[in-house]
Amino acid sequence: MLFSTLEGLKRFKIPHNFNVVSIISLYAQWIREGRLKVSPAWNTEGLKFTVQDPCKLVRQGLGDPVADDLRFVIKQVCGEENFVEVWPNKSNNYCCGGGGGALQAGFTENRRKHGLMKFEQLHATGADVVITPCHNCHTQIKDLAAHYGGKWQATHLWNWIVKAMVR
Amino acid sequence: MPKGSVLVVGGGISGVQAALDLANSGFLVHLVERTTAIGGKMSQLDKTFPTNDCSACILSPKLVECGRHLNINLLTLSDLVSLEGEPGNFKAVVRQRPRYVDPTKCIACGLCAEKCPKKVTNDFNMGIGKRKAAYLSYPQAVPLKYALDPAHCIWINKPGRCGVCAKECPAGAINFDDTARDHVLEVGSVVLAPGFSRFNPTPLDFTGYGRLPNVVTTMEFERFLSPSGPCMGHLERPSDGKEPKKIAWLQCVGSRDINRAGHPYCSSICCMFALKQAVIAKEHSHGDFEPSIFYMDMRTHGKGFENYYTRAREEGVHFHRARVHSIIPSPDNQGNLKIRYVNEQGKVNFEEFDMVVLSTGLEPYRHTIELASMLGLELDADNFVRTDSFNPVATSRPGIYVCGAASEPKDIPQSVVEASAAAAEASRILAPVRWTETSKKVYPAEQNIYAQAPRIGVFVCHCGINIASVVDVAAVSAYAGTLPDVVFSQANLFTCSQDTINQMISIIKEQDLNRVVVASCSPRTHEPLFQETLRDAGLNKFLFEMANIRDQDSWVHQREPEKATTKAKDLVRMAVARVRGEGALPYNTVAVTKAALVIGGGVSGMTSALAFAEQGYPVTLIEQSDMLGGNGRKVFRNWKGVEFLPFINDLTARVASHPHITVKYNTEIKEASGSVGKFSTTFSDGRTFEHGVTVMAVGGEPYKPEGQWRFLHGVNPNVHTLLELDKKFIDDDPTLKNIKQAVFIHCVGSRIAERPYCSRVCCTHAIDSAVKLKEMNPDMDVFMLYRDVRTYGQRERIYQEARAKGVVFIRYDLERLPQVSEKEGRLIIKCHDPIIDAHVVIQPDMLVLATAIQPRRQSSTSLAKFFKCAIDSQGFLMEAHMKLRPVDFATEGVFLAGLCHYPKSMEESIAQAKAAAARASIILAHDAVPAESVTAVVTAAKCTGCGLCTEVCAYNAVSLDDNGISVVNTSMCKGCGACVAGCRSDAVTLKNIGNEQIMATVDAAFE
Repeated sequence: MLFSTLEGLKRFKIPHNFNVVSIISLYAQWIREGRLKVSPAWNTEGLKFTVQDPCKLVRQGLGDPVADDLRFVIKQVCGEENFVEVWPNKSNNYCCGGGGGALQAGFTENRRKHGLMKFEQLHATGADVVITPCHNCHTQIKDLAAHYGGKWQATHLWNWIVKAMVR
Repeated sequence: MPKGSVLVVGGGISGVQAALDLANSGFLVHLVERTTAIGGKMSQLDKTFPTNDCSACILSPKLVECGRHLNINLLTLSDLVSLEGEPGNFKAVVRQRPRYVDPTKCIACGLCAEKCPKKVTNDFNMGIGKRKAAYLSYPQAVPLKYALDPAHCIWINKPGRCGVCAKECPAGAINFDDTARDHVLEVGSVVLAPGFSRFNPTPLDFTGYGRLPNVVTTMEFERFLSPSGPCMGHLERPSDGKEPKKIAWLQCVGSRDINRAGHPYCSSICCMFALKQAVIAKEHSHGDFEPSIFYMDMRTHGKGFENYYTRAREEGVHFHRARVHSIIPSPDNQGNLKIRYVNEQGKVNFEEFDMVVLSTGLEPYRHTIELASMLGLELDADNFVRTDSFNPVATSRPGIYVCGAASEPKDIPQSVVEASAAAAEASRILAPVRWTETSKKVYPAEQNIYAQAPRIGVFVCHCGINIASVVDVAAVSAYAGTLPDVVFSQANLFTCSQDTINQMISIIKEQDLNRVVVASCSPRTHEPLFQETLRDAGLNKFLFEMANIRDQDSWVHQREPEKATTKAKDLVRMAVARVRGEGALPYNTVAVTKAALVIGGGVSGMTSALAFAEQGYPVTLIEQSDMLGGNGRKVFRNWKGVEFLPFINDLTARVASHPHITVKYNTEIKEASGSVGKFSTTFSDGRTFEHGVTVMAVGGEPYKPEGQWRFLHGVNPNVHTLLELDKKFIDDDPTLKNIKQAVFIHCVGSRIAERPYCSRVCCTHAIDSAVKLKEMNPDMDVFMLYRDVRTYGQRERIYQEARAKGVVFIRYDLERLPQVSEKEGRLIIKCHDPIIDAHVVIQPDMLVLATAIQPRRQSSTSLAKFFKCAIDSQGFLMEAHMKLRPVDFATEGVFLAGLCHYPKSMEESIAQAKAAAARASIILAHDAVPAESVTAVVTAAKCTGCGLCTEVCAYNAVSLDDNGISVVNTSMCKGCGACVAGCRSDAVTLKNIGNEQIMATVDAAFE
């Protein structure tokens, strides 16, 4: 949705008087402004978090600033020390292999083969949670974990914000 | 009347060379440098390719000469802020920022820096490590004067808060009230040498630069290697100080990248830069070391480069033809790095390294762009200063010239060539006002030491770590002090640095020394500097000896420090023994014949001849054929699309009609004698020409395809060489339009065992020809069979254009040469395409061979004998020094230009030809040049008049007088010693190299 709006405005040079921002940047802004209060205190078990940078959101969309906001929010939520960086990352991150209709189009074997690189990359982080702020990435990474035997859970960001919210 | 002075902007090697050439040929030079010291990028380098010379060691003498030159007004911390006027009469305003240290008082003791409490990132070390806010940018800096950094100095930012340096300075040199000053300079010409910046790889996230500590740039790595760098030359990686055992170099970071770097050009130097670092790092490392280079095309197109590449491969440098996807930290988080790349078989690979070096490209400085816009100069699409194809150092504004990497990425020799060429251009209209604004050096009266007992001073050099890491310098110095007649001995970090030189002068005076020994690098590079120092101290310069304890000791006995120290002591003892018996010698001179001989009537020869003639010197230009123009007449156009023929016709007309130029066609040289300042050459028509200088521009010739490289050339009518195709272009051959398919084979006869060098121009030439064919017929299929595409510098554009036009590039290697056959007259070419890993068969209408350029072996060889010039193993003429003397021969007074030196493009030949004229003009500008002082002397009492000496003398300097006694003409004697060795009656000897000195040295060796 975000990417197609952005791309459409750009490609067809549509005049507009609004900015397109990601909800992730708003989370980050609200946390910085103190309007959204979160604490990693809940993470007593020291769950390790890592992240997927969705192509449409980061590399082809809003670039490294949104990836930095994403990391900021995750660190606020799970604790700085519990965040594990994935390499390569941000605009240089790998494609998950689930987008562009791949999840819906059959050819499951090919899709999973493509995703093996993503699986190995995430596996190397040893994280317990992979934040996937994109529906395609989410489904693909969940499937990759199930298929190749990953121990992590793939979730969206908001679930953990809810967990970390304080009064 | 024009002004007899020149403004040079930029104090890197280009600016320094231009300043020296101009000042030495009779002009006052104002040298404007932005930072606190001259030296530029070259001063930051550890070693230079392809000779592995120590960069500081070959640069330092030039910087010192610049700093001491009477006719160079060095303005550091300065910028050109405005320029008005026209060629011959410019008015420049140069703004000099405050140094806060009075350079007339500063004695460079370093106390200010030692006591300064403020630490600042060390920009000379590329941001690695710290310096102080009171600083000297590097140990051999010229001028050797400290400065305060106004951005960081505590007092300057908050007066009254610190001031430690002012309290500590023993010379009272600190001046916090220093202010900016404007210098208004009236000059005749302007030379710009603002240099280049390096691409900042931070935005290229795949490199991890800035986030992963062990990813560094080549310039940073150079500082790691350098003895004056942050690790004192011990290879350590940034994260943990561990010695890296596996290093990867990534090529083309910020070059040949329009996707993310916005730099479509090739930076030209990085392939050799990385090769050199890989080889040098291997030398630095203890034990196993594994260097790898990830590259797209290996571009080793300069003289001696291909051999260096071959040597690197043999010495175990790994090469991967791949663009790296990502550098990621290795999972154990110990600082190692994992590189992901796709190999040539299309398979994804991971390899782990201790450290990664990014070969970052060259780009123009931001302030160069501002300077150009202030001066109203045109820039090209890449923001380099635009120059003309046929006047490669001229900017778009008359009277302003540019040299070095500001006009295109280029290496040091090419920059030095351009610097001299810019000097030639700058002085062209100023020739009538030579010596009008200069002053003359006056040496102090020389003391007569004839009756004095020897008082010898010995100076032993650390040469950074070059000597001191192997030889125990303190022990050698202490030992020297114990030798007979040695009254003073001392060890220095860099004996050639300005402060040590000044100190040496005062020591000579204080200690009343009458002979000096320096134990250091090599007399080859540094003897003149130290001899000059003696003269400044009032001693005859021949009361000097050098002990070579670096090139011939520490460098060759790295693994045996104790023995090396013993050898150093032996060498010092021998030098002391020898200097003891030396006496003062006269400074002989030879009157200069102010005329030039240019050999070869091609573009280079004609350009040189015109450069002399326009300064008013008579020139004889000899050409072996009956036509001027040489190879230039056979090529169609350059890669920018500019045709050569109109230019060459114009040049020929100007040369042929110039009143100062005599052209002799169908002429060769029969005999030549004499030396610098006074040559006498006899031509094949029997006439003799007297001249002061000689320029060799004898050209080259195309290789004729033969053996496995013949590819049916001369058999099938559709096989041509590039020059044969050019002939069709020049003749506007209509049949070319009908060709449906064409194939080019690159490297025909180049880069093989018989000719282990790259012919430099053929990739560009071939690709441009392919583009021309596509222009004539866009539907034509064109295939290029290549080994590495070497469209260096901005020539990369033509490669991009060719691909955009649909030209197909297929790589081949020596193991799988293309196979060319014919069937019923139809060409059949079989080759292997490594990308699709399949055999390809093409049946083109035309096959074009990009043949090698080779020297004219015969003419080069015979001419080289006449003028005593060296020739390399390939038959190319050999310059005095590959890096810093690219147009001089070791034989003084003889210069070279064009294809006889190495294959090169026409604009490069033109630059070199102008440079040769500029270097030669230094001699012609003087009425007399120094001649050999170490000449032969005959003891008449012993001479039997046998005449053998007259026969062996190669310089015709010895003859028999009326009494049948041998006499030596000192102005012609070169001190070679042939007569000394030849004399049967021990009647001839060389001054200061007599039997006494030699026997004393030999005796000392066996003491």
